[in-house]
Amino acid sequence: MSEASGRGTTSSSAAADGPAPSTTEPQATAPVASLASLLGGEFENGAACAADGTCD
Amino acid sequence: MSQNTGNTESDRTAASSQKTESAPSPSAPDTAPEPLITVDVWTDVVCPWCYIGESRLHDAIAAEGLEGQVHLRAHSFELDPTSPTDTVRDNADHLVEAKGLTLAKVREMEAQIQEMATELGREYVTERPIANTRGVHRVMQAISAEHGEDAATDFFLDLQRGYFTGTANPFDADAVTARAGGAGLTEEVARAAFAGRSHDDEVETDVRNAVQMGARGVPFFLFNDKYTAPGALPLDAFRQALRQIADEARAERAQS
Repeated sequence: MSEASGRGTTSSSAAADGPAPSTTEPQATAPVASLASLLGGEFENGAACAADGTCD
Repeated sequence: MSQNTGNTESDRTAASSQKTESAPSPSAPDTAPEPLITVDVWTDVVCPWCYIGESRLHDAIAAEGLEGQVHLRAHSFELDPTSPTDTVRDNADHLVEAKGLTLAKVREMEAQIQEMATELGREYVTERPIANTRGVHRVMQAISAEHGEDAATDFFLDLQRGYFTGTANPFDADAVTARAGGAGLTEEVARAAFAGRSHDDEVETDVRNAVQMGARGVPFFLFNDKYTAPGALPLDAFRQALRQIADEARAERAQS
């Protein structure tokens, strides 16, 4: 398929104003919580590829 | 950027149109509302679960009626930094030799993911090239530095979709350079980044940020700078997350 993009999302106003510097990254040091704390219940992590390159 | 977990050329066209139409004119006030939700995703171009997860996220956004309300930003994460930088191999052969998997196991895994992709209405080719992805990440960072994170995200996720649909080779310098040109990067800058002469620091910063938040693999999602979720969540989990985070964001805006 050929892809595409963007359906369902939108650009930020920062993008509309011009290129955003790469420093507009999420605050890695800001406190974050697992999505499980919001959803609770039977929330389980999704399947992922591990940092060693395996995806089973 | 924004965007993209989408999947058709018409979607891409629609996204481009939206972008053009939403660009503020010199005389018009910028009244475009901020998206309710920002989703940061750490991803690698060769990561099948990233492709699945981003597709599910896209579908969840549509199912929840949140089109135009979600701002997606891609970040670098090298799935396997030890992959060879000087050779391109068949993905299955690489997994057999480098990871000790049997060919039957690799094919079983690929078939399972292909089935999931099919259920989502996405193509998924099981025979793909594999090599080190650092070059592509550097190019994405170069685009981000010069043209913003949205352009970088579009470039990267388009390339990822092309990889999994058999229409793009992220290890072909000419092909990547051409795509980077489409994102506004000069050939000289794109080739320098791909070859390793720039933007390593930004790649490593992205990876470090993810690890500090607990990422041990990808995809790794961060919603509104608050909630982390590792892995390709099921569609229903994405929908529930988006619904609740949107409600939370609306409540916060109402209070401010």
